[in-house]
Amino acid sequence: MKLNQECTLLQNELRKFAQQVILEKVDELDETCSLPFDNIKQLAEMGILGAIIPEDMGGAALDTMSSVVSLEEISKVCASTALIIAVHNAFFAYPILKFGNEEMKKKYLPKAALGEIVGGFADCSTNEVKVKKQGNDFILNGTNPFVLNAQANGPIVAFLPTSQENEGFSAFVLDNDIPGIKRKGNANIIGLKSAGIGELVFENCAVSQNALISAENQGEVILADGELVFENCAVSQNALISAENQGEAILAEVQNLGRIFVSGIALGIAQGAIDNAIKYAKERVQFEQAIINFGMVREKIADAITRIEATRLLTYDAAMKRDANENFSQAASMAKYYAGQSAVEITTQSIQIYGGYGYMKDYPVERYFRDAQVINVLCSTPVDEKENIAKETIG
Amino acid sequence: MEYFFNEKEKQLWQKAHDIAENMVRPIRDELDEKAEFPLELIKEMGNQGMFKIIIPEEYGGTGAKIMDMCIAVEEISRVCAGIATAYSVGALGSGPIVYYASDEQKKKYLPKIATGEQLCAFALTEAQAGSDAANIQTTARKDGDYYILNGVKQFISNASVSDVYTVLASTDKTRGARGISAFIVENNFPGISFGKEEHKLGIRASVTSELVFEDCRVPKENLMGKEGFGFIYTMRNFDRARPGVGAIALGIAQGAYEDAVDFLYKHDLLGNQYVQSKIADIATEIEAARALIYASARMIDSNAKGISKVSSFSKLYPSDIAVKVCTEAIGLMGPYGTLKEHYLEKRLRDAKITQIYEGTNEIQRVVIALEIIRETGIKHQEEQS
Repeated sequence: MKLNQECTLLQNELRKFAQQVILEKVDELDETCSLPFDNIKQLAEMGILGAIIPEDMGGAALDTMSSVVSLEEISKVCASTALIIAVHNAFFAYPILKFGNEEMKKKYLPKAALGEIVGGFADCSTNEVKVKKQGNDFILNGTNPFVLNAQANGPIVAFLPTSQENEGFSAFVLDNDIPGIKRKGNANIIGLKSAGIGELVFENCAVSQNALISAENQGEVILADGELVFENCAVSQNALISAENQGEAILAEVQNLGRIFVSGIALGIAQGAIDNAIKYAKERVQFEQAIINFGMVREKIADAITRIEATRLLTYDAAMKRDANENFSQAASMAKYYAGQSAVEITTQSIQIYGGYGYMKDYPVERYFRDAQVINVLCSTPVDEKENIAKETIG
Repeated sequence: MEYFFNEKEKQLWQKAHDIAENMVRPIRDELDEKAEFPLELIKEMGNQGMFKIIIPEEYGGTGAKIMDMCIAVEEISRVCAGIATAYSVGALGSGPIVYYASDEQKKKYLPKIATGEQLCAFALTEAQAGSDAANIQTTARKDGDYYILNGVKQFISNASVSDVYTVLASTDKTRGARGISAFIVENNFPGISFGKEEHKLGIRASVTSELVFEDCRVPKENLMGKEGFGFIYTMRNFDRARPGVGAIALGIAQGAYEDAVDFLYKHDLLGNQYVQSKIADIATEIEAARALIYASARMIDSNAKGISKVSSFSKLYPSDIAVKVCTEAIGLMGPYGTLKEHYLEKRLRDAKITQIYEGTNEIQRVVIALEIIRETGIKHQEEQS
């Protein structure tokens, strides 16, 4: 598939950056579960933090295709860095841009574009978090164990249940200085250990209605990374994105974009893993020859490359549909479903090419294997993706 | 499914089950986190007779039946495959002694292995000899009443905690695989040290390190069997050991399945037919793996000939299933499945090694394919004559 010139330039720039800068510390950051702040800072200077933000707000206004290609290149080396950027753009900046009021956009997006804030995302629409309305404020109580970019220390777009009767929920932007929000690190996840997947604790936290993105009750289920604990956390109406109980519609849109971005990351993981395995197989000698000569190794490579190319076509197709303003919900689900499954399979087989060495932390391939497992269930599980594909097909 | 265990097997299962639930479960997380070998637990398992099952009756054991090993290992691995590995390494190390050592050597070593007083490990792999096991560079040079061993063994499970090793070294480099000999080496022989401790993805309760020989003097009476037969002993030992590796994988799959189904039930997700379809497949595959392992073990215990292919079946399929079941279970549970508290992530990390150790699954496929080719060749020759 031929990319346009702008996209190709960006691809080359990020490929170089990933190899020359990100690669150096990637294992250390994974080992210590530390966020790649240096990478993020430099990627911000390259405009990647403002990928989907319009130019008049300081963003790079990239099309979906260019954003996906960027994420793919970064995640070939470090999927955690790519995920932070994807979450910041698709799950944080996008709902504010699409559904937020002018004040909210002004408040967050220019800073987000420059990477001065790195936003997070928490879906609390289906779990233990309880929301009570008190005048203009929402009082939050409960825990969300899975918050994306929780440790990035920026504001968080949160989907919170605001209507018990019809299970309606609403989207909010929660500032990180709201009293009662606590963030905890979460090293207890199998992969993407540098992605800031952490825990967020709310204690007597007040959020105003101004934080509501769009109207109330427009949300749906989501993933996340980390934990969010709400204890008497009061959120004022100012924090509401759009109107109350509009969360479902917002969440559906956010997820659709998120699926394309996550597919791009899965694609990069798969490509990165097999690239490493191929390099290893060329060097590793057994039975008096490089193991790349053996049919069982070549078969794995052929299988992986075929799946990667199919993933790439699906992912780019979804991105191009979105850029052409076509309905891309089915394309995004097909891309995400296939990309997640492929990343899991290809990283599993890449370890096999390494044999015993692949099981050791001295080689990078076990990290790709762990990261792929998380990516496979982000945005929604394979089961949910299949249901969405079926639904879109049948109508 | 009912596999008609005899009374002895039922008792063994119960004992393994009690050990797994009462002794393994409480410590498995800490050992995984700290990558610590459960020496105390392994010794206690010895006290309870768990090593007797790998030793013949005349040397203080209860019979060295592969089926017994599979029953014990599956049940322990259902709770922790790291500890199951730490335990089962003993069988791989002592296997060659049981089958190929002299009566004198057996009397000297096996009774202590049977009680768990001495732990036993197996040292074959080297940096340049993984799948190509015959390519080992460690040498054993005859010098009067001793063999002098030099070389570095790599990825040796339980190296630093074991008392006795079956070590493969070349006594005649010009003869390749037919120049390899097996030795019984004690950890207090001069010239032995342990190299780098490996930092692994999983089975972290099992310690893995280099075993280094620098002019290590091994008495000539510690040569096992005949010079030049070490590689054959090794391959036959693997033939007998593979169902046990399959059983480790099976235990992981079974444990993952149980945890996932409990989670899905509690979260009211089992009503979904997408989920039902996956769960039904997983349950079927696990039972198929179990049937395959038990049938292979019983066949080997019957002293049947030509067990290589069947033995490879019993490692290949269960290990692939173990990785698949863990991955599918995480997929069904969603993001929660990736978190430590739900335990699937550890099981997956552990499961991955079962596709690799004691011969990668690619090597298993080669073993199976070569056997099929051989069988087919014989059939065609018979047809032609």
